[in-house]
Amino acid sequence: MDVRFLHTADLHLDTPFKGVTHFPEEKLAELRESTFQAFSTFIQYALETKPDFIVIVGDIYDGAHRSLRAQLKFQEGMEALAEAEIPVFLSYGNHDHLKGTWTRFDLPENVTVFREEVVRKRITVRGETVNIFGFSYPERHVRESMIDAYPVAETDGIHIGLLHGSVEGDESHAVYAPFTKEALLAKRYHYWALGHIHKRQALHENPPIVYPGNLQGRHRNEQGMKGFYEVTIENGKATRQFVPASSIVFDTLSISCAGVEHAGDWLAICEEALSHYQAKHHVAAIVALEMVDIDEQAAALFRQSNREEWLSVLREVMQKKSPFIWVNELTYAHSLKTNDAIQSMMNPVFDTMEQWTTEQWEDVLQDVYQHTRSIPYLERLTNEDFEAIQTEVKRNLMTELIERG
Amino acid sequence: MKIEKLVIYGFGKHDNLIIELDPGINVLYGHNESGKTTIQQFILHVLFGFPSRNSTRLRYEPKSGGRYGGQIHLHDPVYGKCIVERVRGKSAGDVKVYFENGEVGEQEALNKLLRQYDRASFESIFSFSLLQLQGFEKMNEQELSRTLLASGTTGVDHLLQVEASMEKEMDGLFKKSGRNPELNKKLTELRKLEDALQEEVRKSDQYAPAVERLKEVEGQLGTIHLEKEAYEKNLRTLAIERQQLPLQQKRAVLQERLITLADTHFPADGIQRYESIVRQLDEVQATTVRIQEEVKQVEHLLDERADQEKLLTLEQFIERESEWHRSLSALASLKMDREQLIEQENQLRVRLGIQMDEEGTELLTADVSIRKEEELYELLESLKDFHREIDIIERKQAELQEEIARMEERKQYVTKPSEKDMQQAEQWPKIRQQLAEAKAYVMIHDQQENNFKTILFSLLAFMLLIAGYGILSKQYGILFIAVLGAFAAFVWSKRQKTNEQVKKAKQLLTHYEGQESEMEAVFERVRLYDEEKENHEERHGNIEMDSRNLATSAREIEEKIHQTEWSLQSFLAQYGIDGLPSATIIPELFRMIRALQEVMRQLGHTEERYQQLSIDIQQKHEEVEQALQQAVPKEALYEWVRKEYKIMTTKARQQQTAIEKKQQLEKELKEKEALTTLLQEQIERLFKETAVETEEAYYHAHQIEQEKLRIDRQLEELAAQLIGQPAIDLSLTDEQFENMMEEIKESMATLNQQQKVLVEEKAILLNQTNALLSDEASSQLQQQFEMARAQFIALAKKWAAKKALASAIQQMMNDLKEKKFPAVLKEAERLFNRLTNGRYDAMIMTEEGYFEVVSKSGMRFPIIELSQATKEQAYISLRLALAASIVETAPFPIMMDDPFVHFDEQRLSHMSHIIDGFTTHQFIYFTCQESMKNNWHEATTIKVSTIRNNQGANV
Repeated sequence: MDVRFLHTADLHLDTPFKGVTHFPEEKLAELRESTFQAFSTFIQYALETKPDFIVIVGDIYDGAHRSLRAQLKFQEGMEALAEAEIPVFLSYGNHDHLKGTWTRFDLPENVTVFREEVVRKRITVRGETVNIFGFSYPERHVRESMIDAYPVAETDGIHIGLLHGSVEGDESHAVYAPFTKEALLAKRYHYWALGHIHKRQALHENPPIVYPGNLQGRHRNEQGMKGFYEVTIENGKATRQFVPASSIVFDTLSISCAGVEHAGDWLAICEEALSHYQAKHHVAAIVALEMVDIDEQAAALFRQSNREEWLSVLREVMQKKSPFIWVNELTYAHSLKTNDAIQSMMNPVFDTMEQWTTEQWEDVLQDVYQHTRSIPYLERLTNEDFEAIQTEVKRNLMTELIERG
Repeated sequence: MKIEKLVIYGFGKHDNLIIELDPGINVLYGHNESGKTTIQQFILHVLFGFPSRNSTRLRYEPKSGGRYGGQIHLHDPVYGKCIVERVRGKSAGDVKVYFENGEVGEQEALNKLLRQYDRASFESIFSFSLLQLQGFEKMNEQELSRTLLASGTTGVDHLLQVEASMEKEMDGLFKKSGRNPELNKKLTELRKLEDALQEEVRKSDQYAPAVERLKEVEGQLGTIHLEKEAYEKNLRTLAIERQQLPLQQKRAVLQERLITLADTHFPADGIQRYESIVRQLDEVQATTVRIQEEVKQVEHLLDERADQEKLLTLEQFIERESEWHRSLSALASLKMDREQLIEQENQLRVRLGIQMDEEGTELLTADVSIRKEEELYELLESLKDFHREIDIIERKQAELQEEIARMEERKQYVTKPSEKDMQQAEQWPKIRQQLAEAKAYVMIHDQQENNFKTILFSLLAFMLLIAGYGILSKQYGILFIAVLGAFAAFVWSKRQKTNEQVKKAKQLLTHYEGQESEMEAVFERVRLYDEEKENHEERHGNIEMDSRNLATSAREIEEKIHQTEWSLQSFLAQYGIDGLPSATIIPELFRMIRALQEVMRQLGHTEERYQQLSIDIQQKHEEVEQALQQAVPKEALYEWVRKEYKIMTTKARQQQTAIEKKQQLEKELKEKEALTTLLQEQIERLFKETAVETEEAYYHAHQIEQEKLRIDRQLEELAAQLIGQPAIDLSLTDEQFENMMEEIKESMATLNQQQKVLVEEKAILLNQTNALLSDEASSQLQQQFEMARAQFIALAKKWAAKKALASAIQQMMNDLKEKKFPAVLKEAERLFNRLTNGRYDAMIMTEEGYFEVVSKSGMRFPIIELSQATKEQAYISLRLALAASIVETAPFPIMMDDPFVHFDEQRLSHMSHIIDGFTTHQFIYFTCQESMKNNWHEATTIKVSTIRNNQGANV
C-alpha cells in the first residue's frame, strides 16, 4: 500500500518582501498577501487531493514578526484540513521556536505538534504504520546537532524524519541543528523531510533527503517558482512531485543588447523578453534585468541617462502588462574598455582603490555604513560588496570622464 | 623631446620660414613686433591645435590668406624622429604625425606623443611668459599643487572635477546631520515606519489579555443569564396568580348581581322587531314629510299662476311685431328723407346766398304765387318795352339831327331885308299886337272887374264867419287867423286893380291909328322874308321841337324805366334780394325761392311725421317695458319679448304639470297615513306584550334582559378560565402581588445593567481581537518598511560608489602631493637658493597651504611679500624643479617668453648657469634684449628679424 503525504517547510507567513524598491503602491497588497496566497494554494491542493497526512518542517512564521493575522490564517488552514480529516505533523523551527512569548493560537485536533525532544508519532494509513520523528526548536538557536536523538528505523512500517536544520559545513546559511548526509542515511528512514533552507533541493535521492524550499520567494535571492512536495512512498520507495505554489516569482533575465542603438530598440527588446517570460510562466513576477553584450553603441545609449531613468521608462512600458511583472533592477554587464586617454586617467585611481584593504574600505564608507542611525538598516559589507562597489565606481568614473572627455 | 626644426607654411606674419633649433638652449632674439611670440604660438598651435574661431586666442591665420600651419620636426626619446604637421582643415586644423618608421598617425598618435597633455597642462609647466609667472602669486597651495601636479597625471583637472562632482552628489545623498539628502530622508522615513511597526506590535500584544478578559466576561454573562431565568420564572408564576385574583373576585360579584335582577319578560327579538317597526315608521313619516314638502313646492309653483294677463299682452306684442319693425324702418326712411331735404335746402340756400336765420323767415313767408310771378313778368316786360322805346327815340333823334343839317344848308341861299324894315317889320306886329291887345284888354278888363268883386266879398264874409266862431268859442287864435285872412283878401283885392295898364292900352291905340297900311306893306315884305325865314325857322323850330319832344319823351321813358326798376327792386327786396340782378336771372331766382319754400314745406312735413312716428315707437317701447317690467334696449325689444314669452309659456306648462303632480302626491299622502296608523298599532301591541307604556321602559326592559345574558356568559367564561387553577388566597391584595413582582423586577434590572455592561465590553473586546486578527496594516507597514529599507540600501550603495570614487581620487592626489611634491619642493629650494645666491635657503608650505620662503636668517616671507624679481625667481624655481621631476613622463622643451627682464645681472647669471646645467630639457628662450644672448655660453642665438635673410625659406 502506498502512503501519500505533502511536505512543506518555511512558510514564513506574512513576511515582507525584501530588497524591492519603488514598488507601485497599488500592488503592495498583492506582494504582502503572496505568502498567504501560496499557503492557501497549498491548503487548497491538500483539500482537493486528500493526502494521507501533511508534514510542515518549521518556520511557519517569521518569528521576529509574527502577526496575529498570520497565525489566524494558519489556524484557519489547519481547521480546514481538520474538517477534511487530514492529519498534520508540525515541528517548529528557529523562527517559531517554542520559547517565543507570542500568543499561541489553538490548533485543531488533527495537528500534531512536536515538542523540543525528538519523539515518534504514529499514524496508521490503510493498515500501514507510519512513524514520524521530529522535534521543535526550544529556542531561537539550536547550534548543536540533533541527529543523534533520532532513532534508527525499525524494520516494520514507514519512517519519516522531520528535521529543520542545515548540513554541517554549509556556511551560506546560519547554522542550525547541523547534520551530515551520512548521519541521516544511517537512520535508514524512508524520507527525510527537511526544512530551513529556502532553496528547493535534494541532498540525496533514494531515500530522499529533501528541502522543499519555501512556498513563496521573498527576495531576489529566492528566485524562481517555489512550492512543496507531494511524496508517495510505495513499497518502501519514496517518489516525489513538486507542486508550485508561489503567487509572485522573483527572477533574473539576461538581455542581449548587441546592436542596440536607440532607446526604442532597447525597449522593444526588453519588452519582448518580459512578455515572453509572462507568456511562459503565467505568474506575477519581480525581475532583475541584466544587460549583456553591451557594445559601444549600446554603452553610448545607456550613458545618455542614468539607470533609474532607464528603469522607470521600462516600468512604464510594462505597467499595463498582465500578469503583473515588475522590473526591480537593471544591471549592465559592462566592458570597461575605453580609449587610452581616459584609461590613462582612470588607471591611477583604480590602482589606488584596488590596494584598499577591508578596513580601508570600511573607513572610506564609514560615514554612512557606520552611522549610528543607519547601522540597524544596513548589513555589514562583504568583500563581494566592495567588489561590486568598485565595479560601480569604475562605471561611474568612466561615464563621468567620457562626459568630460 | 627636442624640437629640431620649425617649418612655417604660413602663420601670422611668417610664411615659408624654416627655423632650425638646437637641442640645447636656443635664444630667439628680436625687436618688438619682429615675430617672436608668433613663433612661440606656432609651436603651441601646431602641437595642440589651432584655437577655435570664437576662442579668445589668436589663430594667427595669415592675412594674405595663403597656406596656414606648418611642421615641427622633433626627436622624441620614445618615438624617435617625428614630424608633426598641422594645416588648415577642421577648426583645430588637420594634423598628421610622420614617424621615423614611416607610419603616419593622426590626433591619437599626437596625443600619445604629447603624453596626453593638453595645451593648458603643457603651458602650466613648460611654456610661460612673465605675465604667466606673475599669475602665480594669487594661487594657494591646492591650486598650485593642482597646477604643478597636473604634470604627473594628465587630466588631473578632470579627475578633480569628477571628485568635486562626486562630493556634490554625495551631499545630495547624505549628510551626517542633514535632513534633506536622500539617505537622511530615507532614514527618517525608516525610523517613522519602525515606530509605527512598534506601535503595531504593541497593539498585537494586547491580543492575549483581551482574549483572557473575553473568556471571563463570557463566564460572567453565563451566570447572569441563569439568575435572570430563575427570576423570570418566579415572576411568571406571580403574574398568573395575580391575574386570577380579579377573576375570582369578579365571579362572586356577578353571581350576586344575577340574583338581584328580577325575572322579567321580553319578547323574543323584541328590540329587532320594535326597531324594525320604528324604522319603517320613520321611513313612512319621512316619506310623508317629503311628500308634504313636495306638495308645498308644487303649490308654490301654482301660486305663480297670476300672470296669464301678461302672457296675453306678450302674445299681442308678438302679433304686432311686424308692425313694429315697419315703424322702425319707416322711421329710418323718414330720417333719410329729412336728411335729403335738408341737403336740398342747404344747396338752395347756398345758391341763393341766404343765411338760415336772418333772411330765412322773410324769404319763406314771401309770396310766390302765380299772381306775383305775373306781376314780376309785367314789370319785366314794361321795362323791356321802355328800353325798346328809348331805342326808337334815339333813332328819331338821329334823323332829326340829319334834318337840321340839311336845313342849315338851304338857309344860306335866302336874301336878308334892310335893318329898318326889319326893325319896323319887327316892331310892327308887336305894335299891332299891342293894339289888338290894348283893344282886347280894354274890353276884357270890364268883365274881369265884376268877377273879382264877388270873390272878394265871399272871402270876407267867410272870414267874418270864422272870426265870429272864434269870438263865440273864445278861441282867439281862430279869431286872429280870420282877421289875418280878411286883411290878406283885402290887400290882394287892391292889387288886382290895374288901372294904369288900361290907360296905356288906350294911348297906344291912339298912336298907331292911320299908319297901319304902310306899315302893312313893309311889313308884308319883311313878312315875306320873315315868312321865308320864319318858315325856315319854323321848320327848324319844329325840328328842334320835335327833338326836344323826343328828348322829353326819352326823359319820360327813362323816368318810367327808373320807376319800373325801382318797382322791380322793391319787388325783389320782398324776397330778400338786394340790388337789381340781371333781368335774365331774376325769374330763376324766383323759381329757386319757390323751390326752397317747397323744400322747407316738405321738410316741415317730414319732420312732423318723423316726430309722430318716434313718439309712436317710444310709446310702444314703453308699453313693452311696462309689460316686461324692466328696461329693455330698443334694438333687442322683441328678442326680450320673445324670450319672456318663452319663459312664460314654459312656466305655464310647468304649472300644468304641477297640478297633475299635486294630485298624485295627495294620493300618496293618504296611503302613507294609513301605513303610519298600522305601524303604530303594531308598536302598541309590542308594548303591551312587554307590559310597558313607553319606549324608554321598553328599552330598559331590554337592557335588563341583556345584562342577564351577559352575566351568564361572563360566568361561563370565568368558569372556563378558572378550570384547573389552584385556589388562591383571596385575602392577598393586588397591591401585595405588585410589590412582590416589583422586587423581582428590580433585581432583574440590576442584572440587566450588569449584563449590558458586560455585553458592551464583550463587543469591544471582540471588535478589538477581530481587528487585531484581521489587521493588515501591520503587514502593510512591514512591507513598506522593507521597501524603504531596500531603497535605503540601494541609496547607500549608490553613495558608497561615489564616496569610494571621491576617496580614491583624493587619496591619489594626496599621494601625489605627499610623495612628489616634497621632492619638487626640495629641488625648487635648491634652485631658488642658487638663484638668490644663498639669500633664501628654504621654501616651505604653510598650514593654510601658501608658499613661504625662509631667508638665511631664518625669517619667513610669504611669496607675496617678496620683491617682484625674487617672486618670479621663486616660481621659476618651482617650475624648473617640476619639469625636472617629470622629465621621464613629460620630456618637453621649455619655452620662455622673456621672463627674466626683472633679474639683475648677478641673478641672471645664476639663472643662465642653472639653465646651462639643465641639459635634460631643450630651452627655447624668446627675448627682445640682444644682450640676453650673451648670458648663455652654449646658446644658439637666432635673430628673428634676420631669419629670412639668413636662412631663406625652402620647404
